[in-house]
Amino acid sequence: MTPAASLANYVAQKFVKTVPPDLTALCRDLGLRIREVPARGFDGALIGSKAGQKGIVAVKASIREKSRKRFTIAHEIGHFVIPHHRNLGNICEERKIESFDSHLNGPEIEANEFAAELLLPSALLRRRFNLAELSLTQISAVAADFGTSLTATTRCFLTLTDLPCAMVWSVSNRARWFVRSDSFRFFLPLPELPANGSFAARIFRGESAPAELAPVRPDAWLDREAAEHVDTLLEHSISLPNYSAVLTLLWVYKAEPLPTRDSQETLLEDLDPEDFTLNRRRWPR
Amino acid sequence: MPRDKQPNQPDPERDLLDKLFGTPEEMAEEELDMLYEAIAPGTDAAAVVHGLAADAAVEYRIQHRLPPDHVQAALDATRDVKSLENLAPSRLRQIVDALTAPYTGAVKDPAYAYRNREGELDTHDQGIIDKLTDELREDWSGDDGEGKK
Repeated sequence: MTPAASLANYVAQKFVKTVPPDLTALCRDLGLRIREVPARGFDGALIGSKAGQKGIVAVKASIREKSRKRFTIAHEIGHFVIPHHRNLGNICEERKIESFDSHLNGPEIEANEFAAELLLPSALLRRRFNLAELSLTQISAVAADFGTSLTATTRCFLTLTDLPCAMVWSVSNRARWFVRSDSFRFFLPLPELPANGSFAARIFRGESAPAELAPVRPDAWLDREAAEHVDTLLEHSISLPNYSAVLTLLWVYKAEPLPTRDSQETLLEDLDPEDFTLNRRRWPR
Repeated sequence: MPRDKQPNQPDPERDLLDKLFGTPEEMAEEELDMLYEAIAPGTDAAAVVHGLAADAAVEYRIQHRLPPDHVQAALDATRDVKSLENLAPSRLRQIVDALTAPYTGAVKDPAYAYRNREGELDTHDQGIIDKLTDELREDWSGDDGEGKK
């Protein structure tokens, strides 16, 4: 568990009495007010005092989904609780909240991790999920119960499961970020995704795609070398028209073992050090 | 402070003063919060303590001496958290434990160095933030938590 998620856990232990958490009550206990505002350029903001004892969470009134509003509020609570975030006076753009893009700056990632754990406590979810099966039906049901979005709930599943699976977020036919489970050890060449053979690409072309996990050519998502090791890759992609986005779930259902560290080391030993010098004075023969 | 109450009747304020001028280490966290609130409303007690400890540490170092353990302990316990990485679980818990007794008084120095890396806010959004900043400056004590008295 990340430090930001641990903080969320401690906050929940101390202040939260309901599942899903009552964010209005939590804000009141922390000295925060929630204000819905007709903002155009940001989804959420925290205006706080330097001492961090009082603040206002501003959330964009026109956000349609209740789950996204809740995540935005939880994200700003994270900025308030994490000491070195308080003086940022954060104005959080739409693409930063509930995005799990590893290229976001540290505070935004931490606030998202805090919000995800606050809204989807991993200890509770470990018992609630069937972690041996990736299914959007299951994830949707949990999302409905906890008042969270599909992306946040899927991310929670991925952090808990041992299955080799991943979620990819694509906008306007371009993969933007992905989150994977610990056992998903394949490289996803994001700039080239979604490839033409994927169901996600079909959706972007306006064509139909399977309504549940279905086999897809491994090289539609994985680089050629990795794809050679995968016998069955399952994909389920759904359209999220409000964001011009497609959410994709991938599950490496059947694969050969990847080369182990030992075999990679053997390969390196086979290389002649004379050919691969630091300053590359000589080229391989 | 009137001291005409019966000795057996609970009197939190009298007890607080007794502890303050007697044995302050007996003060509970809530009582410490009351004290900080009375002495310096709206200030960050940890930052004040850190400043005092840092000044003391400098005095020792000028004399080519190491700060004593209690000064070092005060520095460590109140050091500004600049990153969550490598923080011990006990320190994380301290951060949450410090979230007690929200301050409702007027804020004189709102933290308003906002960040918007993709560009400046337009005048419409800036107006929203300015209005909320004004609300933050107000004294919230005595309302229902949502701005209604």
